[in-house]
Amino acid sequence: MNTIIITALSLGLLAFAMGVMLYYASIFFYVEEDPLIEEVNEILPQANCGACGVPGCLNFAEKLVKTRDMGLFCPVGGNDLALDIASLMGLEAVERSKMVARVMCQGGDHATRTGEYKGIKSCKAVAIARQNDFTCSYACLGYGDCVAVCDFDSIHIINGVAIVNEEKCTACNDCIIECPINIIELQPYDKTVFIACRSLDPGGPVRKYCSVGCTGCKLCVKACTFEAIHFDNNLAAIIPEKCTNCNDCVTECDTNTIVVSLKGMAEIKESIKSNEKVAL
Amino acid sequence: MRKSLFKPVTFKKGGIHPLENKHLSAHKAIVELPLPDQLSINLSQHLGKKAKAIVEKKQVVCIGDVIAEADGPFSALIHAPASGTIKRIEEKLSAQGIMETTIVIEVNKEKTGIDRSKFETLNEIDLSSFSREELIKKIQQNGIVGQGGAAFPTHMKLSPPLDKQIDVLIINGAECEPYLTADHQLMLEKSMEIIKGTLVLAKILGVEHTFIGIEQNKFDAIDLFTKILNDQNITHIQVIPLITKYPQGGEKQLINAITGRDIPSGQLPFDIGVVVHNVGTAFSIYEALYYNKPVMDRVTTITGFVKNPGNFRIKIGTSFQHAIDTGAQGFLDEERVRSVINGGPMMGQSVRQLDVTVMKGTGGIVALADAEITYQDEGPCIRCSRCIDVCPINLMPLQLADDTIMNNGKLLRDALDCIECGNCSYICPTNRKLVHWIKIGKKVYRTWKVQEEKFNKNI
Repeated sequence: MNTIIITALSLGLLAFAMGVMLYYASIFFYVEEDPLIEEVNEILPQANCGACGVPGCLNFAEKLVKTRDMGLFCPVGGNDLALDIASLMGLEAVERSKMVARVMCQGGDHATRTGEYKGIKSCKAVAIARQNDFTCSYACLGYGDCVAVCDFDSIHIINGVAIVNEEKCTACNDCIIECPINIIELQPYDKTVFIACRSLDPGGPVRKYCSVGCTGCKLCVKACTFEAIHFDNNLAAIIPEKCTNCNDCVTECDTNTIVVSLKGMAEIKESIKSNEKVAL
Repeated sequence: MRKSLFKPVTFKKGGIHPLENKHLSAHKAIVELPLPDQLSINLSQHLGKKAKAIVEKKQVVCIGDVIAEADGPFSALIHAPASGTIKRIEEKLSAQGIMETTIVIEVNKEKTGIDRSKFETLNEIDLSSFSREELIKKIQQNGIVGQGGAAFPTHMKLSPPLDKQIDVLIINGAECEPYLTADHQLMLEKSMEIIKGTLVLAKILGVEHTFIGIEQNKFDAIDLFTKILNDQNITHIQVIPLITKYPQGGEKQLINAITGRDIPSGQLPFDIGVVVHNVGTAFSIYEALYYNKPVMDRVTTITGFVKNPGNFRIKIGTSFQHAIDTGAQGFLDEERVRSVINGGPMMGQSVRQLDVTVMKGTGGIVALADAEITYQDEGPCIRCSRCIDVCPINLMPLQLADDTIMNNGKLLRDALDCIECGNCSYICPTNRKLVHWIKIGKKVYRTWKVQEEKFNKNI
């Protein structure tokens, strides 16, 4: 009986002593933190993707509250989030137009190959070994390094080429950094027309090695009444500021190189079935 | 024949003994390849910044004219290998697998002879009448770059930072890659010329000791050089026989074998007082000094699954197709060819098209057929550690590959030390593509470093 009482008392006393120490420690070591940081952090998407330029959402909240710089923008939350944060902070929101990633290639199954790549199945591996087996040196390699790195399920390989789901894309830049041949570009979401090709080769070879490549025919340049298409080095490119989404160039282009971007996976799958003049 | 006085040496760690297959082209006299109709010379013939074209379409050029000038000190000049007209300047796939700006020359076959007035022969030159700077300038003006494969601009290698004390010059006659015999043949046919080129290098660097390293499988070259040096009473140049082991010709391995010194990670040979040059480079220096002849061609071994393997003197810019057809008389069976390699089978790369052209650093063109290439999928790592045993740099390839697969940039700093020799891939019993993974690992490390620095600034 005695042993039990002594044990219980001594452990109890020990626990009490530790409790007292913890109480004083919590006062002595208390860190002053602005409660606003936690409030802001609560409404952030917690994707921890780094698109804002800061590592992690908590760090974003900290930096925002400390510097009070409303220029810091979270592309995942977008303008809606920016307005919420602004009302929390009591400052003016700085809105930005939504940007999306776009893959500047439609080759894949439409493009010819010169050899048979037998190495590690990754785009980075192909690019580093310089063993791209497409005849076109600017082709999307199709092994999906971009898909692996996307946190938002916004990019997929369909028919051998990468394509972005613009509804889900948060412009976090991960796929753009990952792509070893740099054919993914950030473009404004509301400019819906783009030229999905990066080949600088002249028309003759392009016609032979890809049925959807830019052949430099310049029909699009002539069709555009807003002078929004720029032609250089055998490749056409759209100037977003001048483009009005009229789609005249899309109609003129007879290799289907100029496309109207598709929003959402449902549309993408639909267009593959119907084979319209749209992005794959 | 006087035998070398030295015991054969080798590098202390790692190495493999692949089948040499040099018998196909060994001891075949160097043959000058007939001129092609067209030469396509890309502007990135060397390490460093690519040259800048100074010719235009339709311009007429003479053999030996400068067609591209160097872009700064870390670059090299390019000369027209033949007389002709500039057909066009375009983006074209190079033998190294990337698109490069290329000057295409339509060759004028009437003017095949070298314009002798441009290249006077000076049988004896008095080296003491040239200053060090004048010699380096002559080397630079003749577009000389390393002929060992990497094509480092030679004038830069000869101008190390002033605080580096160079005491050893090594001439690399190892030629450790299987199949290749170009350097061997050059050593047998042009021994005196190579020695003269070496004397120029020794004078420029002001070194007391010069060593010519030659692998034991080229015992006739060892004996020949030893005899000549002895007859000419040149005592400050020694021939060192090297045990035949791959990659004996690698700079780090060669220096370790001959001097016992190691190059610390991230440093270069001049940091430990050594400069290494290939025998082909020494020969180019001889041609530049004694003949005023710039780099316009090189000796390349065309071998493997071809009708007439051998060693050929080929003009820079000749297509692989032309070289194989006119030099090696075509493939043994075109249907069965699976790969044509630019370089040797260990470190070379398969070319995508046969219209890529010979560059200043192209030491070999190796054709391999279906029976010689067995493709197997990668297996899992069984941690047998053979890759660690064979690595000449003392790395752990299995660990580097694993870190690359797990995308662990932080742990991949050691990948940068890899010389991509291929020993690990060669020895792996489960066919893991170790060199490929480590190449990717280098990129993963560099990407991680950039992101780290960016994030550290942003917090």
